[in-house]
Amino acid sequence: MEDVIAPIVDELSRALGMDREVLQRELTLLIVEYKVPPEEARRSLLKKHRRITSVSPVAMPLDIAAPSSWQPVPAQVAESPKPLEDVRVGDAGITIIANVVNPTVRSISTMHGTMRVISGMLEDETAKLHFTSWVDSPDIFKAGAITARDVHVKSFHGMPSININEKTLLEGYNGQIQHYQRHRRTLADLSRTDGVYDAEAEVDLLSIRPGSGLIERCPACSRVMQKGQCRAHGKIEGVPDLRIKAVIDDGTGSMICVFDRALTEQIIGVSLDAIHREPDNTAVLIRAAVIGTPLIVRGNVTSGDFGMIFVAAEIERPSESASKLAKKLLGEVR
Amino acid sequence: MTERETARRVFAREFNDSSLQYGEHTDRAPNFVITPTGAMCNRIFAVGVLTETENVGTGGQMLYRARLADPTGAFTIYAGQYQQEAAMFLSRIPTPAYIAIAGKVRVFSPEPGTHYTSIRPEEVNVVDSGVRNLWTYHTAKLTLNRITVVEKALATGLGGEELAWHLIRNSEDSEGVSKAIDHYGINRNSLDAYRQMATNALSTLIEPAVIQEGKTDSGSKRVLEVIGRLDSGDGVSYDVLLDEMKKLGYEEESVEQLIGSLMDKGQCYEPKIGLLKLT
Repeated sequence: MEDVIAPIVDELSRALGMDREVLQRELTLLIVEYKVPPEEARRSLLKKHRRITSVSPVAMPLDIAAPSSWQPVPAQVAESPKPLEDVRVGDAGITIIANVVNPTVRSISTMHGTMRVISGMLEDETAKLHFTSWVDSPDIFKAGAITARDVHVKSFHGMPSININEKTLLEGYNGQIQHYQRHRRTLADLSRTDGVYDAEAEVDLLSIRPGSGLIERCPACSRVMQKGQCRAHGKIEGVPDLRIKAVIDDGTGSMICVFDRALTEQIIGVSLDAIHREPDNTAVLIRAAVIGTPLIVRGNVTSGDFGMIFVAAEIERPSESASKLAKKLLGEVR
Repeated sequence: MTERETARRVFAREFNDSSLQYGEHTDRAPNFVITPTGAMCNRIFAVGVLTETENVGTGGQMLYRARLADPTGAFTIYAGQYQQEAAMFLSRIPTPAYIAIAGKVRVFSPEPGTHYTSIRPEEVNVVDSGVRNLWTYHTAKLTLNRITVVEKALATGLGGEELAWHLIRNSEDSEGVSKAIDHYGINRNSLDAYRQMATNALSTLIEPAVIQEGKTDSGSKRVLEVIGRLDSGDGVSYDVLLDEMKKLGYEEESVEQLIGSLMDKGQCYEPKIGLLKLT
């Protein structure tokens, strides 16, 4: 066992500048006692101690054995900026240049107590993304556009979200960045993303999923209730609501799309109150209004445990005449 | 989780030409029909005119066969006891009707060389001509896109596995394209035939000169107005009317047409040959 542990101790003590005995003890505990794979043990210790040192760099233990020229291992930071469209959940050490839109300060409670964070949107020509800054940087408010080196990307509400932390090099960007323009994309294209803020697609509604129609929501948490039961609050008097979960498909890809009450009323042309008087007809009504209907959908595409979901915010019936479209396409072919 | 299979858009002609089935016959693995332009269809979405429905079930069984026509041909639809909802729908619906249908594809091959394609519906609904026209447009567009991909594939001069690898990042249907080329022996001529099919379908969407219609309307009004102005009791001579209309920028031929249609509608008449009067 010792010959497995020793090289790791060497490596970690060099990298972290830590007491060898502490490392030896912790590694032995993990590898021998708990039978954690050596690589995993190495990783977890690296993570654990690097965090401590970065929070309180002064409290670094002075150790004669460690080389004095200790420096934190720099993660590879990409210098060339990445277009926001190409940003994926899990990206780390990337550089972005973007406009800051509506930054606001808010307090959130974490394990370590209440923290002040800045959140808002970042945009460039290609996409618009949510961001959270864990450090208070005046640049975010002052400069219209920023360059951020070494940011990492997490999933937030099913879409990529840029995280700015104390490692991030943040500065104002002198120059114009185009605003994000929503443009029509295919579902195949949208399926390849990790979620898109403010997207648009032209689709057909092909099928209705369970959970559509008249539903009851918990008045406390607005979760959908099953048989008068809320998952969190138990038996409770529900608030009636209306929604459609439909399969949308454009011939290139397909996903689920949810329409809230207002959009559902718009699609079926009947209000919730009217439906409430005659609930038995709801399924038939929705089926007749939905299946085979072409629609232009705008909203957020989210990616989660249940695959990609298009959360419709706005819908429109395609109004361009097929005749005109056909003429244009024929012109391109000939 | 398993991804839902995308519903492909293909015209009936191309679909009915399909004879290539693909897919492992294992549990849950989807089976595909590969069309001549390389669309891998497990599910398709079609909108057209329902022209025929017939219960072909024997022994009291319910098995509805229906035909759904698009500008290029007709899809055959079979809805049996496991597609109750669709079968019930088909049993009630009077033909002709604009119908949208999403369903799984089937190829039935009773003997080598003969193939019958059909759709087993999952969802059916009544739609209108606008939806049909839009479907025709999108299907033509996607078909033309596929043809372009196949054309590029042919241009590489590759075949079989090599081509498949070449195409792998080129298109959604890359797998289908190389298999289609091999199976159907696709060449430029057959591609042109399918391109022709798509453009013909598009042509059916182009309305016969809507603008002309508008002109006719305003033209008729102008003719009536001129007759009313020049008529002093006995009617207006044809030649005088024609001159007046020419001054206003109308051609002799179109004036004749306008007068003809106004007389058909009974808005003016000829009390004597060569004279016109308002009714």
